[in-house]
Amino acid sequence: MTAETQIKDTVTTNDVVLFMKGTKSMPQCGFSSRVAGVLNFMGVEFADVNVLADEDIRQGIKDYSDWPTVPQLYVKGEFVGGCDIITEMMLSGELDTLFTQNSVDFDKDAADKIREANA
Amino acid sequence: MPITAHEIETLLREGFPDAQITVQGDDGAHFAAEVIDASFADKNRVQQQRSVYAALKGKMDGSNGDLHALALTTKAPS
Repeated sequence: MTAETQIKDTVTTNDVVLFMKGTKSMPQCGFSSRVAGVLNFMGVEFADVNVLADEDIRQGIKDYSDWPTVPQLYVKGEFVGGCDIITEMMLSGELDTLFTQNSVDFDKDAADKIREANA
Repeated sequence: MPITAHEIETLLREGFPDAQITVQGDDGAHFAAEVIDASFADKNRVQQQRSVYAALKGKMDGSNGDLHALALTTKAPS
């Protein structure tokens, strides 16, 4: 299976996927850690793909989304953004809206708590 | 080869001649850049940041790139 097929398969069979350096329980980069932390705190169920474990995926994900950096978040097969975009969307409430629109369960109170703490 | 904030700013300036650009960071690897440009008004965040990455001409590209970490903020002038 090519990297592209593998990526497509992953993002279409999982509602929320985070391509990251390290894993959600042990991130290996500050940017990946931040996004995984937000999703964990919001109680979002997501699949994590460690790009450091597979050089083909590491390069493949950049080609797939035409986006040069990791982490990359996908919801229902669509590329949402990297660390800076997810952070902005988290704080503005747009991430809540995106999850709601896509029927992805999350803890609204936890999301509000993150915003309160960063207000 | 490490890159400097000044080099990043120069690349961004070439791509966005009329933008308000701020680049911070002096360790040669970790930077924060803010680009405020009128062309962003009709683009979503992904499109805005893609165009910034394009202006950086491959400097972000992992092991081949000079730039390890760049925190990006993009917006249209308010």
